[in-house]
Amino acid sequence: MNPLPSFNDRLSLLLNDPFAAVKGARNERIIGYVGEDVPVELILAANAVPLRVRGAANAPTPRADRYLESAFMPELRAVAELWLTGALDFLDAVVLSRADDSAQRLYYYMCELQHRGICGGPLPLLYDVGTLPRQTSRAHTLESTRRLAAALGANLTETALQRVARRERLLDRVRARRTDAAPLAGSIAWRVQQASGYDWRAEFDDAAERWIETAPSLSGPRRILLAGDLPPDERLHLAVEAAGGSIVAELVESCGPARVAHANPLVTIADYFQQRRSVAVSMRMNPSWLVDSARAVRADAVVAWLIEEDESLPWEIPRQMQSLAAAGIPALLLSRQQWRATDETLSQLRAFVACVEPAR
Amino acid sequence: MSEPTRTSSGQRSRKDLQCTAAATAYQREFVADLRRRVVDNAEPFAIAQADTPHEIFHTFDIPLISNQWWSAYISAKQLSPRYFNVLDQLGYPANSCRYCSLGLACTLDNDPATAPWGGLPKPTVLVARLTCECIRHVFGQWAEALGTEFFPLEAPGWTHKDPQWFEKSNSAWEEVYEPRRIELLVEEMRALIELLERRTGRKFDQERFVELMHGVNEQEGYIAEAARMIGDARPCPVSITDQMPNTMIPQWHRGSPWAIAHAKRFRDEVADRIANGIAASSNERVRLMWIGAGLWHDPGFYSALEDRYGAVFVWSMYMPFAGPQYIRELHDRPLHALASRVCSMNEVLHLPPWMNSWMVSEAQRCGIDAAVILVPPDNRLSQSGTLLTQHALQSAGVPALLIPADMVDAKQWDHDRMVAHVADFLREQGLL
Repeated sequence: MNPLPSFNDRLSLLLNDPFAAVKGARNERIIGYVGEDVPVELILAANAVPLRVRGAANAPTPRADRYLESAFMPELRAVAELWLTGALDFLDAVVLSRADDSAQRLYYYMCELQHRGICGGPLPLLYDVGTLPRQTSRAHTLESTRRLAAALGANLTETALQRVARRERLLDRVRARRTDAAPLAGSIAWRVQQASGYDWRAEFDDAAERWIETAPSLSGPRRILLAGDLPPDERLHLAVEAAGGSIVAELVESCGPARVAHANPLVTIADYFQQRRSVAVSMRMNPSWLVDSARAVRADAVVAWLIEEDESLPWEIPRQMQSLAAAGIPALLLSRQQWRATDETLSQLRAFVACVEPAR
Repeated sequence: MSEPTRTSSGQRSRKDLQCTAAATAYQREFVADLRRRVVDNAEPFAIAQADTPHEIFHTFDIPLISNQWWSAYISAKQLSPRYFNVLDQLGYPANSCRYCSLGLACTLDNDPATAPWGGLPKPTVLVARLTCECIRHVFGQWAEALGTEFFPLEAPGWTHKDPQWFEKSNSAWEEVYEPRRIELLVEEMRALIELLERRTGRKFDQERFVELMHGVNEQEGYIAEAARMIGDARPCPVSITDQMPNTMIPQWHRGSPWAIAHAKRFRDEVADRIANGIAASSNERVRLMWIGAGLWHDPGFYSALEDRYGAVFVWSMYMPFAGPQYIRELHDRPLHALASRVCSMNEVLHLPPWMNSWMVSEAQRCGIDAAVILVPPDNRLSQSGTLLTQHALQSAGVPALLIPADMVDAKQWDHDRMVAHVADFLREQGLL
């Protein structure tokens, strides 16, 4: 049996129904998490099943709109809608990180809505991660990590750490395949990345590892770096591919340095999350971040995609665009975008990619 | 004596209290002196957000320019449109937060002929709490443009949720604001003090600091007393346009002899007005609550509703905030007491449950008939908590109207239309 279709089927199933994998969990707690700034290790160490919680981009949010103001990031609005409709009732808790401004606000909102009896559902938990490169923030994050571990009932073992490490190695392999001379299509890699948060079982890793050996490659596409906000689906990727390109890397979520093992694994986790940087902060720290990143993946061009509700990237993107121009790297800025890209945006993107001169 | 003042939108705002004129006169002199110290004498100075520990700078006698005050100053010079345009030209999208970025825009414009004071010179440091997504970027760029350092302060999460926080925050502040949050800010403030000592060669005088903290408590006690009297009095003795300057101007100078004396004078004048039956409006029909920052580009909006409809803004956050959020028993730990004042200054005004529970309590205390809530369209922090507060007020029987408007950007604002809009809402509620 060819492993490729089965893994693709698995991805489709997860992306169409993100709760599919956890529905089979029996007598296990399921704990949701929002964003990449939450230590999944602690959820696993609590003998619970982790589930990345996202909302659909095209679903209406009438209940969330009653309580969340217009400037909330739409991904969090969609999560709130799920919460308020009872769609998350099967979860024991949802962990939200202070590293994400909308997520930490949602924590307070959901606590209040539950307190007032307006909704039920999972217990909101806050991972109060420090965001400054300072010893006081490091100590605060360690204490917050301990508190989260206690709230989850985590007894941190090597098994949980290894579980996450294996998943990270897998995703690193996928990322590496995308930057090959004949890369894995960006849209497929994106699907793997997205689906991986919905299924933390070892079978997913097993299947992905088999699949990646034989996954098809593209032949000499125009290589595009996507930076900015996290898109809700792979429509940007597909538009790029329709114009003969491929997104070889995304800089759309916070990223951190490699984990440095410490005798106390809680310190390892705390340091890692405290040192993660959002896209906007990475831009703040390095005016040529996009230039450096584009060169690292041999990108022919950069697409910066910023949604209307983002309040930090607009302050950094002009400087990055200037440095891209100075470096002679073609770049398209799509600012004030709707979270679900419009047809007009996709046309603009296709037209841009079609004009990019691929380096040979 | 009434003192009509023209605002940027051309509408009159009325100021009735003698101490209002005294406060604005003092502020004028202070600004002249500040300019002399900062620009002419090139003294070390700091730029800081309003929700930072100003007491540290006051103790050092380091002149402080509050970003919010500087923004208002720029607005008052009618320069906001120019600087918003500068941001547009530099590639910042038009929906980027305006409230905190006027000062940055003024610096980036780099045109001494236009800028107030010829533009700010290089400060010793810029300080802000990271209470929203944009402030780190605005202050980071501003520091870069001015060639100096940005000293950010964490805005840690808050899991101890006491809806009645305002009843015990003066004394049980450790319980209310959480020891870990207070301790983090104390450590950060110690690092800031070290930085200022290093940069200025001055020493942080602990005795002077404690004296200042006692002074702040005394000052805020007078303001809190005035707030209580205004809430209890019928009709309302002092309009919002008098409440704001008499709270905010001393607040920029908190703990100073002038600020303490002025707060006392204000309290006394409020008491006199109540004793003599003097009202803010000759025809008080509706008692209103204003939720949000001041409408700095059109304070005449408040006066128009009072004059035309007897709809009096009895309450705005600045004055009643003084009691619960500023007064602190020192418990022999003055730096911790200060941290407890600062570490949630923003949160209690913008996050549930602290915001909504306080607003409901205040509405009940002051006999409020309806609330008007400012919702700036492109500012997550300033919008935050407004819908839940609206729901909470309505559940408590207080109708609440949201108005989409910015506090410093008048581009989308139409004075007459907004006055009519509020009046229509009050009619719909059967209040007019």
